[in-house]
Amino acid sequence: QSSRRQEAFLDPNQSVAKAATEAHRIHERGQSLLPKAFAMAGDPDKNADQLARYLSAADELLAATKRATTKANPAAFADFESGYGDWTVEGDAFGTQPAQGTFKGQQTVSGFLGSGLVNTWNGSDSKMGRALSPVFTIEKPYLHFLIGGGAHKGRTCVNLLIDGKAVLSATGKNNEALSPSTWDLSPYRGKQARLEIVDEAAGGWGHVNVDHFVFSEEKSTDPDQDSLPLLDPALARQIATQQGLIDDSTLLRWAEVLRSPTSDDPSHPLFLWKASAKDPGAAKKFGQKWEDQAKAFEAALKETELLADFDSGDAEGWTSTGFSFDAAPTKSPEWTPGTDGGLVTPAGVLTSAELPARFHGVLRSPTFELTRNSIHLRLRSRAAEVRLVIDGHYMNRFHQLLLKGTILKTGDTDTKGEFRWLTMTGDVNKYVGHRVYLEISDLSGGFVELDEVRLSDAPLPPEPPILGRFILAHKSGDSRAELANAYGATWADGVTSLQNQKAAPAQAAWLDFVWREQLWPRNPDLEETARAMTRSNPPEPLFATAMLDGTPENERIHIRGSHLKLGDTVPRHNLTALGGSLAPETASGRLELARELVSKDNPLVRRVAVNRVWHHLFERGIVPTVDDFGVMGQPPSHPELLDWLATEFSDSMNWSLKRLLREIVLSGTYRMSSAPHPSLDRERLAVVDPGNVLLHRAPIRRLQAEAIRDAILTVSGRLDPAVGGPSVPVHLTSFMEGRGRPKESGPLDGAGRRSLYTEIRRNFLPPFLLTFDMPIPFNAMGRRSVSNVPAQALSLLNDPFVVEEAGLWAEHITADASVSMDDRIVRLFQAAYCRRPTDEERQQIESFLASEPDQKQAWSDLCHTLFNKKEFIYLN
Amino acid sequence: MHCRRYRSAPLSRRQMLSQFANGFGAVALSALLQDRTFASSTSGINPLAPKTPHFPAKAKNVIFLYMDGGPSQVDTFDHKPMLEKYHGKNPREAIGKLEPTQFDNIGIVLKSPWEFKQRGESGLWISDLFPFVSKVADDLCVIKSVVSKFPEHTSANYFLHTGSGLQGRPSMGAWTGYGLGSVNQNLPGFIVLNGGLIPPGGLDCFNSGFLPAAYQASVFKPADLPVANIQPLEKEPGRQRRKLELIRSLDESALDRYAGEEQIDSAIINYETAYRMQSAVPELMSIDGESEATKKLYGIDAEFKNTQVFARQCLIARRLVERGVRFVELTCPNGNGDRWDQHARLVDGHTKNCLTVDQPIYGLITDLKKRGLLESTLIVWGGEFGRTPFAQGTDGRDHNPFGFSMWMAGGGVKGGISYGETDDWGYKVVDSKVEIHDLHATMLHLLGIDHTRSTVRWSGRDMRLTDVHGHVLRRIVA
Repeated sequence: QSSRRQEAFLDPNQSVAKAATEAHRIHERGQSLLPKAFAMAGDPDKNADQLARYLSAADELLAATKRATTKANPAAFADFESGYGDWTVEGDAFGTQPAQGTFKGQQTVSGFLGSGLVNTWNGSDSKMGRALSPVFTIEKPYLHFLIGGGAHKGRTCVNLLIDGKAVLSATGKNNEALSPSTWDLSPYRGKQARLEIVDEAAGGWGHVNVDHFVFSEEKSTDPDQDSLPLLDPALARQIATQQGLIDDSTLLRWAEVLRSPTSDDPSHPLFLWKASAKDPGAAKKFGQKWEDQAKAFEAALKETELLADFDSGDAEGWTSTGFSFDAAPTKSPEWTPGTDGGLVTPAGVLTSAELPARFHGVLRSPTFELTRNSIHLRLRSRAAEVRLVIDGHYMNRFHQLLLKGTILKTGDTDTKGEFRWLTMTGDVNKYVGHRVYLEISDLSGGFVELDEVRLSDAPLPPEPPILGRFILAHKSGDSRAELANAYGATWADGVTSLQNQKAAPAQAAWLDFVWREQLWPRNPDLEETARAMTRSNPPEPLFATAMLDGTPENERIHIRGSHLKLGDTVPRHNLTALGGSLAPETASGRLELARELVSKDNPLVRRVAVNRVWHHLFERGIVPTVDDFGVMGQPPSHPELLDWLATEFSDSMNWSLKRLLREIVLSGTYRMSSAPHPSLDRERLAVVDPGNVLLHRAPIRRLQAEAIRDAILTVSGRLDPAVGGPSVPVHLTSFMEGRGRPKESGPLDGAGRRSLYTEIRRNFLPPFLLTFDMPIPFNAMGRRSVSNVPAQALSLLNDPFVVEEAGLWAEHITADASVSMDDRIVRLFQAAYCRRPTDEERQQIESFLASEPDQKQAWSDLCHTLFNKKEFIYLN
Repeated sequence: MHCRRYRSAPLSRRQMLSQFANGFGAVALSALLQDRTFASSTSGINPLAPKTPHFPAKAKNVIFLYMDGGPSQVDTFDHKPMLEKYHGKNPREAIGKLEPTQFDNIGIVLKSPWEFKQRGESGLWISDLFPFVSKVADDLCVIKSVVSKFPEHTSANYFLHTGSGLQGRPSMGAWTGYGLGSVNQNLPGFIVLNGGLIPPGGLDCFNSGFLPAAYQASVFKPADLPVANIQPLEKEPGRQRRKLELIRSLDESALDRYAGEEQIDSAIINYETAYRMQSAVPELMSIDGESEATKKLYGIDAEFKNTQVFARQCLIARRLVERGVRFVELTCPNGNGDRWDQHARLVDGHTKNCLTVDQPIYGLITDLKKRGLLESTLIVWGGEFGRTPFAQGTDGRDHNPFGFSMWMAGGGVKGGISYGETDDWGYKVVDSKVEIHDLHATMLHLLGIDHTRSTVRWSGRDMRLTDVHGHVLRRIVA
């Protein structure tokens, strides 16, 4: 397992590398600008003060906006903002005026509009009463209203009365929050009616909350009502000036973030500020909760095993490929513009975000023994993939039935800009005791920053919000002003620490948040640097499946090949028979092995290489057992020739296969005829060299499967000689069945592309090629079998591909009407056999053509016949 | 007509062909009469030429009834009263330590929902799932102690078919062709009659691996045209004949270019064979000529549609054996639940699967016996592994490679016996363990092949179907 199979990055023209170097240069410039960019307000006190001011000014802006827009609400039938109006009120539950929100001692009432509502708690559930609206005529089809409170049917409710009877009724849900309710009034259109609010219940939830009756033409409440009103820039400018803020556009950002529902989440950095506006006790309440969480979390951490935290500035054994990862962890908080807008990364993190997301990379952990059921990763990412490679099995994405939980897919790893713990579990527990490594990639155009990796058997409880706890610990009083000051101080201290190249994690998180959400005025220099960064445009990555170095590991002997019967550990080394030199301690030894294989002292590899080429050209190697030069193989027929070629190949030809091919095909031996020289005595040949091992003539060779198909395409004129490109899906016949059958078949003629580019699906191999001995692609096969069976005749006779190409060939050959029959026949022969027809052959063909009245058919049949003539696939 | 006569005299070869100059059809006709002569004249090149076995064979042909998915031994041929006694108990307490199963969703000890009875004179235990097969119990040799190395379908299928859990090794049918060649040059030596389910692992269960491609299985669809390229595309019958005439005369004119090379002669003869195969194969697949009684015997008229499908496969298997095809494998029809792989709904799945194969298998054995072919035809029934004696979930059984049942009939095995034992639960083998390699060794032995001597040099060593393993089960050989 010292080597790892992977999709290795290719960068043929170093174009990605060059773009990356340039991007790194820009990154360094941005990095130097960072402290200045944060410290715009001047000294730390001013910075702290400014941030606190932004916070309270944002509150003011939001309140003013709310006041401005509430007035604009559509006319309500009753909104209980200024008394009961024409409503008739009975009993003691309603009081003399509608309630102003929550009564003292009541749970918080929410969801009403404006400040007034009907709230029949009025001091206690025991109070009862009734309110009746004036009579009205139903004109619109819908009535919208808000209702909360008790769920007692008919007793804590709103009723629609027609002729004194309740035809519609609604209650609360035993909840103080009012929620929208809509009645369909269309059956009652034109009728006289009254609305009635009832509180006849005295026990638990014996009250009702009602507000905001609106008649409407629309079934749903106006959709625009849900969207937040636009913030008024003029208002923002006014407040910014009053409060002495650096600018007003940043204030608008603060207001947007504060009113967004995402800041209602306790893990959100501004949660405390927002919650304390509604509930002065929020800080205390959550402070306690977070302390409890922290205790539980710390206790759980103690039970885990730390794999890596990168805090010492070291990532020993972690490796990266590609271009986006810095192999060393961040030593101080860093500008990481790898996402839109850029962010700040704390110290002690491996990050791929120093460069824009268009640069890709893969990070790999050292190989380690899996000791626990679950792996927890603290990271921040978007569209990254994390996977566990177990025992070097890198195909786990195709075996999810047995390896659930070993991949965190790109969709699962969006941490919304924060560091979070993600867990790999599921089938991970099945592989405890195995050798594994983590592979973390940002290939889908996102980024990933890894802070810590731990292993555990128990689940990890939630980590309390790091910034929230820090703010609480550093605020000096309970008022909101003190809270704002704590946010400000954390900011200013963070900026100072940044200048000193060290910031606490909470400070870095706060800097990052403020920067990412644009809650601090932009520094134009840094903005320009970020823009320069986005201009670098590396090409899409290319990959090749390859084995690259991993963590050096020694394997144990598998006794009789069984992974269940393990013997001694054996140090990594070359085959004992080939010298057995040991691999270096710090690497797999692949490189050393490769060097040994091609070293001057090693004749084996070049002998094998030239022998293979010889085999391909003569259909028989100088050593016929091309895969076996050992004692089980056969001896060479021409040992001196083999050694001469091998030495030439490595020395004067500099390992160039092209030059080797040229050398051989220009030789007299290769250019011989397959008929023995007339001067040779055939009787003697039959005794001396019956198998033509000594090459007294050229061997008769059958074309290989792929070459037969390519030859057919070539003569028919269909061949697309383009080099490279995606493979062509295999053509599926109705006889190719089984699991994993592709939904669609490829074209019959493989789009005219060379057989090399036909897609290889292991269970759907191309039958035409298989018939002509294309080997199955699971094993190395240095020498193909050359069979000679009727199925090959059936293929050439009846395969629709062959017939189709014959028709195409005939079309081409007959396209020019001025060419005589004789010339056409010559052309056919030269295309197919590289020779002119004999007179006998010409006569045979002419009489064949004459016997067929339909000339188009006749030529097509002739072409088909010429594919079937043995000379087409047997070279002589 | 030995080929070597023509080695250094290509013109003689031409003369020989011209003796058949009455036309291609005439060549084909005379070749049909002299099949073996043609075959031997190309030996050394034609991989399917008949070869002499190592010793006199008991069986000439094999029909492998492949039960895809893994039938449950404790519901079919391995009677375990203890399961009734302990039904509903926690298997970890009743049985003891359990091996991990594929899904590790272990339920109760689960008794068989079917009753077992002793059948025939031999008194073999067979459950009520097989009323028809029970009638020929005295022909069966039930092996109750088979084990596999793999608890997962794909690897187990490769292992069962090729003796290796890895993809890409030659299938046992390919080894049979390699060892014995084929007596019928018009048909492949190894045919898979596809009932509708290609097993997990795909067509590579039937491949020739590192053996020449000629030994790989031809997978026949249950249709009149079962394989590709068997039907001439020419619409009028005379057209292909005219083309073949021209091919022959052009080849003949150019013969001396090839210095009498044997492979050219063979390739020419292949066209004659191919021509005959075009009619031989459709004839083979047609069962119109079979009597109504025969069709009924197999269950062609059964109510259950899959019984009809499998009945037709069994009947065609007999026709293949009659024509000398060495190795015939039948795969199961689709639509009985997920093959025999009853991780849930055991009763429903196994009932349908048994209903599918029971009568056709009975028909096949009875018909072969009647025609005197059972003695020379080895029938093998089984899946890639068995199933757990305890439940998966509530109503299924998980994979169990530690002890399961297969059976053989005909072809030189003793009838009416059982071999080997599993423990009281039908969970693990306790007596006379049979590895898949032993099964292969025995099958080859019955065909007259010594599995240790049937080798091919590949990848630096002499490869065998049985690798370095395998013992012939001599106790079951008649």
